[in-house]
Amino acid sequence: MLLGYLSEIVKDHQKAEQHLVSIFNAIPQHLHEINNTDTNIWCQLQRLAKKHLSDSFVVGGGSHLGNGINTRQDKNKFLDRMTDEQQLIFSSIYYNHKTTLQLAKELNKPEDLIRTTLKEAFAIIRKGL
Amino acid sequence: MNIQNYIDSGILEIYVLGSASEAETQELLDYKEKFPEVKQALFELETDMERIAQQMAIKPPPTTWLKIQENLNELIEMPEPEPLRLKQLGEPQEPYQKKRDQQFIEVESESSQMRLHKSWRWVFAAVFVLSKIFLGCTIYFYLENRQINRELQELRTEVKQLQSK
Repeated sequence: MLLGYLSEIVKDHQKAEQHLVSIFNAIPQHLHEINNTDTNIWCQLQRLAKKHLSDSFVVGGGSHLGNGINTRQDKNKFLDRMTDEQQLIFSSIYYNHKTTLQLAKELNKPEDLIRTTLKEAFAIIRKGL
Repeated sequence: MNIQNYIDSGILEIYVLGSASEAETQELLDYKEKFPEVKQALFELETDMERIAQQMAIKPPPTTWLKIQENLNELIEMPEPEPLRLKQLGEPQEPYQKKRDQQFIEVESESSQMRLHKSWRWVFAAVFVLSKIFLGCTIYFYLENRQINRELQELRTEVKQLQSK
């Protein structure tokens, strides 16, 4: 699961694999945080990955993130069911680590509308189960 | 505060996507403890996230796990370093009152094991292979030498026979 997520972010299978190894190697340092919370393990892994990626990208001096457009739409039935706007907002936050405030500025829309669209995207995901 | 309005505000979605600010996260975690509705909504969203990730999952090649395992094994096997102990030297003395050859601190470590870098295993493997090659060469040349000696002996016998005729 994590490799799929990382591949989608860095758009390079080999780099994604390297990040996967680095993230798993960093887990022992975060065991205390992981064990002390009842949050879903995937969400914790995802947060760890986000932290690792943002640190790596800062060190690398540039952004390796995509433009928020999902390149594997045909393989994800949930994203397929979203409108372009819902998909853009969902992917920009999920894969590109943007905040709702950033998106609101970029899309020139109120932050509340971004949140509502995101909520709709989640409703579509749940409906698609 | 109406907790349903809070849930409907979309903050939970932002949190599960890892995009909430620290203040928002802290507030949400507080509400999660206080209100079972928030806890339930969060649980459902986290499950949704897991399903999405499963949809996009890619199976890592077996070599990836070996790389991770290697690192984890190092963490597990690495023993705690033995603390160095200062030997008791009886009554403390003023350092400047000691003779020159006694002005050293005696250090003792209990560990009798030696740790080597992993790259040494290739050196050991090369030494092992080379020793086998040398052994093979020794046996070969020994047999070759024995054969030549026999032939030489036969030739000498023939020469002697020819001379006697």
